[in-house]
Amino acid sequence: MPDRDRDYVEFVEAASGSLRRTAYLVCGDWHRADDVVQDALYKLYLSWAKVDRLGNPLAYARRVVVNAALDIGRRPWRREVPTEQLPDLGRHGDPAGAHADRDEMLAALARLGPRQRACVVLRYYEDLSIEQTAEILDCSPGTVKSQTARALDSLRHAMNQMRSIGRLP
Amino acid sequence: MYDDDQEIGAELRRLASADPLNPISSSALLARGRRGRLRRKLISSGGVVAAVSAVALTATLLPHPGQGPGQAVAGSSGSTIAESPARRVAPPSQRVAPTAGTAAVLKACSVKLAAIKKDRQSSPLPVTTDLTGWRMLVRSIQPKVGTAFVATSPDAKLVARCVLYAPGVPAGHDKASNTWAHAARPSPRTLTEYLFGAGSQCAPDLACTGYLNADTGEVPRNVVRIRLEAAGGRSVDVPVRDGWFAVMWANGGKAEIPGRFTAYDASGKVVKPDPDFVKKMVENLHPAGTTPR
Repeated sequence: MPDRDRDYVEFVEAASGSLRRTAYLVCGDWHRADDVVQDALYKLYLSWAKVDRLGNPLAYARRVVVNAALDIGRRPWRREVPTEQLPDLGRHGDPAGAHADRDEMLAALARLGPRQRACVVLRYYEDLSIEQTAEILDCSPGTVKSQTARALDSLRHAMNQMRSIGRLP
Repeated sequence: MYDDDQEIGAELRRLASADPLNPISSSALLARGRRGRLRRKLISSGGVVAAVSAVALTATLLPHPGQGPGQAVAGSSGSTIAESPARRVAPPSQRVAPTAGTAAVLKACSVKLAAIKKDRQSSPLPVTTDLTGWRMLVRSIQPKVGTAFVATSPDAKLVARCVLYAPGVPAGHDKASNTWAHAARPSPRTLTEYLFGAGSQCAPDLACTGYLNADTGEVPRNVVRIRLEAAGGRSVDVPVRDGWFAVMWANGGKAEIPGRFTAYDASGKVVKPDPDFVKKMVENLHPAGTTPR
């Protein structure tokens, strides 16, 4: 195997799991996250020589993944389409149990705007600085601060709700 | 606040830790990436090949500028078809059957002169574009290809020299520089050895072989006949009248520029070319002491 391919494989094995988890937090669906990461890693392979030479393939891959995860929700076939008949949602025998199973935090994250969600994930899951986050999202540090602040308000509210029902200490 | 932030980070990690999917296969990604690279290479090389093919196809479809493939017209003068800017399809009215009558060829020549004047294809531009009622002085015909002739106005003050091609001849053979209409001038006193310079190699799409002489010109008034010769023993008698000749003849062989020819006077004597013709012409144009350095 050429050096180029060996380096690439090592990178994929080291980083793909982390990238998929980041993508999941941004887009909210594991399978979409998997698609996004595989596409991003495929693109990374095509430009591996250049990216590897620049010295930080993870930063490149993260940027591609986050933006693709944000973008995937905007694609036409992902949008909601109006239908004449409502889908059969099924019946839960125990509404209280269903409510208990529901993850308030995940729901709160899903309710955030895409860019707010990305800001929170990059800042508090990936532990990136404001500047690094701004660079990935191609926006100003001020935008990152404001988006993050709004997102945190929503998430704190969700955490307070979880505390009130005893799911958080 | 700080505790909240830490808590949120911990919650995000908790959510992300519940990854239900299998690890991404690096070997599958590697195979996909290799296929993608190969596809890119093929597309890029295919693009180059397609571009070259398109250029070659375009060049093939363009009308031949008067010479066969790979055949250079070595030593051809600046007035060959290859250098003609007129490569578009000529209007049908410029085309005429080589054996058509005088009125038809004069009309076709008028149309060609008008086109030349409109497009400013030659310098000087034709002094007239109406050859109605003109008198044919000399004319030469190459069957299925075209005709060359010299005509003069009724008052003999103007001369038209025209090379016309048959309707079936592809565009590109309409050579503007071989068609003029200008004021009549005195015939040269001596014969130049540099005659029969205009023409082109017969292209595959022309019904001729060898080099196609398509020329008109002036000779001394005492010349009444010119025998143009080609390698291989072929020759043709070029019509001459009142110091003008016209030739449209495919020699069946290589281009010979200037052509090998023998000129005769009315008594059958050979009129020899003047070796100092060019020198004298320059001296006439620029008298001694005025020749530009």
